[in-house]
Amino acid sequence: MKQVYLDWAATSPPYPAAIKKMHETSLELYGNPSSLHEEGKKAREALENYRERCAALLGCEPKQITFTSGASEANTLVLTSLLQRKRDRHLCISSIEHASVEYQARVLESLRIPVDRVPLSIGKASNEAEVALSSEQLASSINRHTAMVSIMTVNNETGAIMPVPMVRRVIDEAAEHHGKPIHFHSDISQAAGKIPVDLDKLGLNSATLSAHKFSGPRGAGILYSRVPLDTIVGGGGQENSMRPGTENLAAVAGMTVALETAVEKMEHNRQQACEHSEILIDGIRDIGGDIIPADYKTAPFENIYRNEEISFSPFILTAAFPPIPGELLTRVLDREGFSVSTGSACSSRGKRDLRVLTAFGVSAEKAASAIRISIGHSTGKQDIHRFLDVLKEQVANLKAVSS
Amino acid sequence: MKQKHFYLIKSGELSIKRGNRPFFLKILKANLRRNLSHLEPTLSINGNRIYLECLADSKTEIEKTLTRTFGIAGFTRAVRCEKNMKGIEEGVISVAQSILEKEPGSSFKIEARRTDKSFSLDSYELADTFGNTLRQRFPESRVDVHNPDWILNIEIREDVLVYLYGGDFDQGLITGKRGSGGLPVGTSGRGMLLLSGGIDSPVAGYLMAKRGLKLDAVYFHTPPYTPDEALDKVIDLGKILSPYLQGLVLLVVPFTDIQLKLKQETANEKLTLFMRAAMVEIASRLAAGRNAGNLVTGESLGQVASQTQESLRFTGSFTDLALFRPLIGMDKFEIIDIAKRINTYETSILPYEDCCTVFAPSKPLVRPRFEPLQNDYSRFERRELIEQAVEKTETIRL
Repeated sequence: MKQVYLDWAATSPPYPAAIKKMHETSLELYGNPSSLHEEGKKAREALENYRERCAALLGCEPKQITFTSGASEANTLVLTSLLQRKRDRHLCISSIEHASVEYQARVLESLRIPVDRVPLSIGKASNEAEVALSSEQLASSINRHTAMVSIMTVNNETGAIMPVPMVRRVIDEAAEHHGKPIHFHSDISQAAGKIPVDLDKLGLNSATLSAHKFSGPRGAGILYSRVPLDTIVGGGGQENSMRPGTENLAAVAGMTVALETAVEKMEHNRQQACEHSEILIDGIRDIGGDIIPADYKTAPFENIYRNEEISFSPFILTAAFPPIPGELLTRVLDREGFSVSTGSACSSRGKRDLRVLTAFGVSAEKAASAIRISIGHSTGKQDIHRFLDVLKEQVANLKAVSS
Repeated sequence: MKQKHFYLIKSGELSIKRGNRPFFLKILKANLRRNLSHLEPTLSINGNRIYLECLADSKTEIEKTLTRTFGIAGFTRAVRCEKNMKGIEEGVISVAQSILEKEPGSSFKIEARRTDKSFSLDSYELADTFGNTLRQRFPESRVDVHNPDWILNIEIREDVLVYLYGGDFDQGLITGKRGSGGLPVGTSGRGMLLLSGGIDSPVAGYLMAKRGLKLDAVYFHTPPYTPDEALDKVIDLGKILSPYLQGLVLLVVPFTDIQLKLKQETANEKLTLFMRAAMVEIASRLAAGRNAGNLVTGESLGQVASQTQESLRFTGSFTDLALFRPLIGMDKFEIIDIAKRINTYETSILPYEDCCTVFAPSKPLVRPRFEPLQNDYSRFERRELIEQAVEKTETIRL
């Protein structure tokens, strides 16, 4: 039987139309968009056309779009731009950022740039832990030296949707109080093409995404910035001098087609994911699994971004079956024909990095037994049911061994 | 382009084993022939030396092999020249030039030997004549017969050899290269190494091969509780060790069923010791099948709960073969030093565990009482499972 792919948050199977477009573009528009001859002009024209289309889909101006190799590179460009500042370089990030942001923050710290990590607040309402981002706590992490706040829109391990409008409001209040602007950056990789993202309305100063998360190609991504960023790279002067290197036109073409398809089907895909997610959650709870965090609940489409409260993307679900190690369960499920993961693909090959899950208030022990199930537009209901059957069986087997 | 290279190889400790010398040298020669087989080697034994001639692009590939072949104290490159004054002069100058480029102004002496007594000059005259040649040609160099920086040897046999050789490799002379020492692999018989993915067991294998053991290795694989990457890691370690071990046969034992049964039937605190006992039993069975007379483990006293003297007595009681634990008295950092030197360290520290945490007791027995524990283990019905594990063992040649 064909392997069932449930690791869409790591990467997603591409839309055939996107790959077809890339193939055609590679063969036909091979010119360097910076060249002055006919082939170059044609490539330039196409590139700008894709930029316009991406901008329209994301709710911003074409000139605010910079094409990159992906979100990790784009995050690096945004965070390291702090190095171009002489003073007031304080950076504030959340405690659940993607490794590409967390790593750059550590690099900046090693270069004596102060970094604060805003923790999630873990309350206790009834029996369920309530996870939230407290505006007070956020406000207290921002000071008069703060230059940038970086908080992701959707967390890649738990699917938590961060209250972006609230963050904007707190930043605005702080900016007014200190009498200077503060940059708000957000990694929207797990949001783009899956939940509504209107960059202008959300009030982000910069945002980053990777095409392969929404069935586009690898090696393509977008850096949105409201005004040009003073990045630390230069050279060819491409992409508004923010990201040098000959533009990867074919990848940009594939990305645009994928984003168009994803946005067009967004409502439908999300409805479907919500249904599947409910089946998964019920099934997992039935066999004694813990959803991480315990108060996981998906949000209504029209009210995704809350005030302080965190809602969840139906595409990503993390569950734990202690004391079974997540790695072991992942391996066993793989043998049974289901691809899930232990977390972000980058960290799951080596020792597990439990930083993000423990930030959601779970013990290290429970975090070590977590697996991530992430679904996408072509995940079928039958796949979910079959997955739950196998999960039930394997968890029972492994529990008998582990206890 | 491939060139002819000539080496003079001095055997190590085995030169003191007078009666056995031919046996040791014969095996060393066979090992060298195997390790250098791609370079069309010609090897001959002369006293406690081996002369090597082979074809290679560079000396690096030859010397890498020589430093990894046990039983060699040291080696040096030699120049073979025509058996007449002009030929010898050319050889002497080229050899001297090679070292004077690196060590200008250094002092030397010439030692000459003549097994072909028909040659016109005797050894004293040879040294005198070519010493003068060098002094004229390289005025900045000095002759020092008591404390030379290097010694240039001239050997007149059926052919003529000129080479630099320090005589005593421990004196830090600037000529010649040290070998790994030890005894030629195979001169001490066969052994079975219990190889895991950790730091210790590859070092244990290296050290016992150095004492002349021809080793096979056994790895206990427990899918899906350990990932395939853990097996790949052991294979990689085997490949790194293989040149020292004169090749390696890795036996991969499917151990999951035994591990599961033990987990079900055994008190948690005894689990590790019982698993190790079963491993020793299986390794002994496999050793017998391959004519190995001993088991080799990477255990080091007190390192973990299963390596206290009480634990070692228990696990060691399940074999009647000799049990070698070359690391028993070593500190971890000493083991790591060797692991780094032989290049296994970086692979050993890759994160893939060789035992799933599910099977790792939180509070293992540290000082088990021997008899009660033996009685306990004897009640574990295992004959059939061990039989199956041995039967399903896979062989990988590295």
